[in-house]
Amino acid sequence: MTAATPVVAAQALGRSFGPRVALRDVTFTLDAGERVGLVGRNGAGKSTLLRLLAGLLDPSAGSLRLFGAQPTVAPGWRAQIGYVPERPPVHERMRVGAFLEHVAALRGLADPARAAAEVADRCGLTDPGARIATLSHGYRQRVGLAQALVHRPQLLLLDEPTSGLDPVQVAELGELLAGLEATVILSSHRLVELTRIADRFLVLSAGNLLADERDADATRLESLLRGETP
Amino acid sequence: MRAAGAIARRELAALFGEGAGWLLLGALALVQAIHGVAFALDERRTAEAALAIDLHHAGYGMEIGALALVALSARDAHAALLWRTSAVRTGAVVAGRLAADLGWLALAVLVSLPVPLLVATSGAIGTGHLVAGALGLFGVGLVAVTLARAAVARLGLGGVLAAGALLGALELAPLAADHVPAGVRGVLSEAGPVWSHLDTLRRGVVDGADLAFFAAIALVAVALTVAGQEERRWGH
Repeated sequence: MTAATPVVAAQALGRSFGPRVALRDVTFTLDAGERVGLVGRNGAGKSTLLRLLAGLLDPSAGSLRLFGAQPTVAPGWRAQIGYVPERPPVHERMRVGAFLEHVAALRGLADPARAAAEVADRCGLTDPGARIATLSHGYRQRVGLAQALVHRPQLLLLDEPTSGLDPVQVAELGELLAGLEATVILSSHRLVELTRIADRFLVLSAGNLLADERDADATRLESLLRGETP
Repeated sequence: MRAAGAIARRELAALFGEGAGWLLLGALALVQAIHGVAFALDERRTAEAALAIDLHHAGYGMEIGALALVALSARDAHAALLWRTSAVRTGAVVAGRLAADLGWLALAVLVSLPVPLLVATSGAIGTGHLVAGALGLFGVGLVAVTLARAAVARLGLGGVLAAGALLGALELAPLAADHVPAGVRGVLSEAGPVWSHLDTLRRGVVDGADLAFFAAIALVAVALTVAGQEERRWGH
């Protein structure tokens, strides 16, 4: 991959589940370091797009290139991706530190203990001995984020990371993401908070890419979602 | 390799941390303890006959325990999602789970041996007989667990039932041999291969062909598991 190669290049991307079309004809490119907000009503196709980018789904139509390669052909690129689904896949009976070390080992990192300690520090996880099942929602979200960052990915995908967080936790999440060098794509219904984190917005409606806006404010995004703005 | 090791450790920790692993082992031990008492009280049977019956029943226990093990493991959707999002290769997932399964099977064989140990300490059978029986139990469990993993990879959790039905059909097929035309009788008589190979081992005969049979079935099932998981890799 050269410096000019887009991190993500989607061309007429589509995905169907049987007769239901979840995403159709979506075209966009993302460059390194961009912070992209994915906006849309429920069922608009946000999670499907993120799962396609995470390499968890294959496209039904069009093409997708991550770091210049097709993820279905060269799955090795998935190692450069961190993904946090709406319900982060954490083992609730494990302790925070042990879980992050486990994920680092799954990622094949040379020193899982060190990687776990570093990412815990970066994500403000101050109690690595705590059992995940006993954590507050916000703290658990941080653990979910940490598991996606443990290998220092170049592309970070977050599905509704602000769901259930209070305003202070959202602000802290924004600060954490601002400190990352990775390209970040996150979906959220909380438009005001999203505009503080992202500087580019992909607006989806019924599986279609309705708008690709830079530096939009929450009012503009809401108008787009309501279909009031051309 | 590191990922497979991490998966194996986590699978075993989850199994025993939540108590299910101990429960399964406890059930096996309880059944064997009942057998042990029955053996001690029954003076009419020879030691070898009692041992053969005991190992045969222990084989059922290994199969049921192996199916329960796979069902418990397959319920954990979080683990599967974590492996997929962590870019763990399918081979590492299968290898890790297999290593955990082998660990559990080894423990299950250990708790299934009180009667054989009792017989061995009485001097009625030799250590070789004991080892052969243990190998047979391990082989039966290995076939059950790998077949169940292969079925789950293709069918999801319902695969455990399919694997159980297959193992049950293999067990019952020879019983129907007397009631079918001669042409298919031979096929049905040989349709219980898992048990016929255990039978040789529980008589104390360690035959390389029996061990190779168990290993071959397990290898084919593991290959089917990898293929099934690769097909389901791009989820819906």
